Amino acid sequence: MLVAFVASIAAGVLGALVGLGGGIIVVPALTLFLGVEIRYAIGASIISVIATSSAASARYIRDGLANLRVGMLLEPSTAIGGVLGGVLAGLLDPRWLYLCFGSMMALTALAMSRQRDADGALPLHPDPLARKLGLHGTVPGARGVPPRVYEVVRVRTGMSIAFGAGIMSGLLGVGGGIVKVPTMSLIMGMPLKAATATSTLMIGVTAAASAGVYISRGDVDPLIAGPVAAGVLVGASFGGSVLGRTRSGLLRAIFIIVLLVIALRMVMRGFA
Amino acid sequence: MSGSGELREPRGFDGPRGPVESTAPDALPPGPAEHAAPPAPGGSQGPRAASAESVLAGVELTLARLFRAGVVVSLALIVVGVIVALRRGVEPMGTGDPAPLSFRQLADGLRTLDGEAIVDAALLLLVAIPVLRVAAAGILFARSRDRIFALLALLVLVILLGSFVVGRFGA
Repeated sequence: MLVAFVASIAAGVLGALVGLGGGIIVVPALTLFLGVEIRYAIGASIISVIATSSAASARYIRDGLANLRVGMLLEPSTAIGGVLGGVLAGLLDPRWLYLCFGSMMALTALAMSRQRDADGALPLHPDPLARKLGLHGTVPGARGVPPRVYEVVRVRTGMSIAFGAGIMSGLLGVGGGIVKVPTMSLIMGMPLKAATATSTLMIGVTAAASAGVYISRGDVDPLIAGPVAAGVLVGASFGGSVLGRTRSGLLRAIFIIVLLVIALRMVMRGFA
Repeated sequence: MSGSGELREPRGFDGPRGPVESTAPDALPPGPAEHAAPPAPGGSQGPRAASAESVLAGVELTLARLFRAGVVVSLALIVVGVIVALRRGVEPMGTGDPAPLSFRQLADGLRTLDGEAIVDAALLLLVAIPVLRVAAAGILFARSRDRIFALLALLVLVILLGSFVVGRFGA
C-alpha cells in the first residue's frame, strides 16, 4: 500500500510535468508492477482524477478562464459517456481493458509527439446554436490589454466528441483531457487556456459519473483508491507548483518513449 | 494546487490565435448578433458589468474554494483511515473483494471507527464534490432565469445520481 502511495506520487509529479493526468501512469503502475487487478486499478485511478480536477478548479475559475456554459453544455454527453464506459468496463473481459488501455497510451504518445498548435485549427464559421446559447467567453488580457471575446463554434461536433471522451474516461479511468482540450481549442475555436480550464472542470464531473458505477459495483477498494488518490493529488500539486517551470523537450521525449514501451507491455498482457 | 492541464499551455496562445482575432468582427457583427440572441448576457463588446455571468463566476469561485477545502479534508481522512486500518492489522493492498458499498455498512463502519469505512467516507466526499458543483451551478442558472442551462445541470445531476444505481446491475 505504501508502494502504491509512493508510485502514485511519482505518477502525479510526472503527469503534471508533461501535462497529463496521473491516471495514464497510475493504472499501468498498479497492474504491471504491483499486481493489482485492472478493475481495482481503474477504480482507484478514476477517484484520483476527481481529486486533481476538484483541486485545480478553484484556480481556473478565479482566473476567469473556465467557460462555465460550454462546460455545462458538454457535461451531459461526457457524463452519459462516463456511465456507459464504466458499465462497459464491468462487462468486458479484463484482457480487453489491457488492450484498450495500451492502445490509448500509444495514441496519447502519438498525440504528444506532434507539436500541438493552432495550425490544425478548423476555420471559424459562426455557429447559430452557440450564439443562441450565449456560449461566447472572454479571456483576460495580460498587462493592460483588454479582455478578448471569443466565439464558440461547432457545438454539436463538440458534444459528440465529448461523449466519446466520456466513454474512454469511464472505461479506462483517465480524465481524457488529451481529447477534450484539442476538441475545444482546435474544433470549437476556444483559446487554449480557456479550453484547458474548461476541460479540467468537466473532467471532475465525467469522472464522478464513472466513479458512481465503479463504487456501486464494488470496484473501488478503499485501501487502494485512498492511497492512490492522495498520492496523485500530492504529486500533481508538487509537480505543478515546484517543478512547473522546468518543462523541457527532453523530458517530454523520454516520457513519450516510456509511454510507448509501457503501452506495448499493456497490450502484451492483454494477449497473454 | 495546480492541475495537470495548466502546464499544457506553452507557446503563447496569443501568437498563433492572432488571425482569429482579426476575423472576429466579421464573424460577430454587432447588429445581427444582438438580434439573434437578445438575452445573451453582455453584448459582443463593451463592459459586461455585473452581468449574470460575473455573479455566476463570483459564486462559483467561492464554491470552488469551499470544494478545494473539501479535497483537503478528504485527503486528511484518507490518511487517518489508512493508518487506523493498518494498526488494526488489515491486510494491505486489499486482496479481499470489496463488496459494493452500502450506506448501512458505511454507517456501521464509521460507528466502530473502522479504517476502511473512514477511507470510504473520504472517497465519497471526493465524488460528491463535482456533484455539488453541478447542483450549485444549476441553482445559479435557475436564479438568473437561464432555463436551458438550469435544465442541463438537472440532467447532469440525474445522470450522476443514476450512476450509483447502474453499477449494482453489473456486479
